[in-house]
Amino acid sequence: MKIKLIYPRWEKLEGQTTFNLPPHGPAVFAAALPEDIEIEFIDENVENLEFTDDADLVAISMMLTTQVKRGWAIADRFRAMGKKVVFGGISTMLHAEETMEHADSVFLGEAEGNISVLLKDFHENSLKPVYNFMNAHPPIEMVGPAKRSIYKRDLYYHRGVQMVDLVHASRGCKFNCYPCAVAYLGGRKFRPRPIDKAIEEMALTDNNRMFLVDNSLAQDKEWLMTLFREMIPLKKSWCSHTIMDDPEVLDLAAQAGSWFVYQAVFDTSDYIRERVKRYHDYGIGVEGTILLGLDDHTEDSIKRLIDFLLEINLDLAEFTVLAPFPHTKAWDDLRKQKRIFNYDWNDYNAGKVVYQPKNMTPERLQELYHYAWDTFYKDETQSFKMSQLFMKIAQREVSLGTYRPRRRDLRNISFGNEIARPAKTGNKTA
Amino acid sequence: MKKLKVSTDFINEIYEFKGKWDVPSKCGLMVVNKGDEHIIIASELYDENPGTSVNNWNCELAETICRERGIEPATLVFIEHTPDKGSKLENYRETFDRVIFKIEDGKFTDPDWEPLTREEVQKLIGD
Repeated sequence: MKIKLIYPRWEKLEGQTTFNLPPHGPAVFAAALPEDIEIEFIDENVENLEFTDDADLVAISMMLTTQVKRGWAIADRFRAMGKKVVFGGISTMLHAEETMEHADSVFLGEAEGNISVLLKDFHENSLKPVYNFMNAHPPIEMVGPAKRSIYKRDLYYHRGVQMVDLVHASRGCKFNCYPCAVAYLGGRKFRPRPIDKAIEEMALTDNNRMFLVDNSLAQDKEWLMTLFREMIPLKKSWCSHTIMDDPEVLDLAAQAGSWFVYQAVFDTSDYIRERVKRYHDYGIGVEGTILLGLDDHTEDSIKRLIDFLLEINLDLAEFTVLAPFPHTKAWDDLRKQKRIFNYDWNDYNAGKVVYQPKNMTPERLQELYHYAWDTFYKDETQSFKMSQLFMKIAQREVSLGTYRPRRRDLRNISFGNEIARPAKTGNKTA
Repeated sequence: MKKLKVSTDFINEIYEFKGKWDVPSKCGLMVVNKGDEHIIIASELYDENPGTSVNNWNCELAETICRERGIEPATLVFIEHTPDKGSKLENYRETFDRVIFKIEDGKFTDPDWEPLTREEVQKLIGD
């Protein structure tokens, strides 16, 4: 049996550096399939999708809301060719009912141990519209290494530099933050993987740089400390979401290779100032993730926030505007208050304002979003700040003997595409 | 009733229900019978609700509670309550909204919200 596994493309944010990381969801799904199934993986963000009739089943994996319309269009075309199409992934769960209109089946929940039900029905030509495993998380011990052999590896290099691999050491999240749907998607119970399983996967991953995509590394101190201790001999470098604000944990995280964290910065408090300082004290970089457009935000407070970010020496900052994704409190509130004016999912990319902010017009918030990017990177560009962070980790890798020089054969290639060189100007002299 | 993190001013019981995709869910509940009106206040429990929010499941909640408690839908006043969570964020302040449904053959659809103040709600449920 052959499955064509597709990861739909989406429009990248204007003016921002695009990085295409090897997507995690499809590789996790692939690992849950029986070994004898042939998988052809197409990541539309880095390669063209051919609508060929060479697979028994088409599976579409979607992570982002801004991906769903493209996913549906792909499905419609394959189904018109007579192919069965199934959907899974985070944004399939967020948009299940709409997706059902374009699918033979939607799979909701985690695939390990559960996907066999769908495959059996496919073989018996009796696919059901929904496979609901939202309330049936597989035993966490069952979660094995993602099947990264599905990737066409050369497509995930930028100028010869390999992109990080995504790895998770836990699922679920006990927190339930305002703009986040993780509680709906993965449940509110923290589900740590057995340490040996997580370490085995990290060791198997042919990359000395990783992104630990755990929802939060601040949920269980003892487990975290054991995990970080076991990670030290791997000599890998990694970025992650927030790490627990505890000196012992931060110290071990740094020893285990913590490169930088994505830390939400929501106000100009001393708490945030000290939090960022503590990461820096342990040599851990900080990329602030700054959500603009909350009901507390005024034009003045946003401008003050940006000044504050420069003052506290954030290594990088990523600005987004609030996007009310379904199954979040933001969605509940804004829908109830009739403040959402745009339901075009292509625009739910966290760079476009789709709702009426409380203290300004949508247009003004959109302007402030651009102002934030421009102001933060005015003196030192995003590329410059990134290269500083990159140099720091390269030095660490050199000292550990793990540095991998960039691939010279891909130095003029970015995610599978040749980098256009500027035309030479001036007259040639003989 | 188990001690809750949120104020119980408008909660008499914890109501357990199967939410979206059958996920076990909970909300606070107060039902007040006022002669020809039945007032249901469904309160969001945030961290203590393991599943679907009241807002996301209001049609099904209203329909089920009416059926279970023998309430005639035409006499229902359904109020969504999000208690103050004590957060720094304004988005977690207390809100009350009366939900107006379209009701056909006992089915509740097309919710629409009308904000109420705490005082208005107290007046509605008062003697």
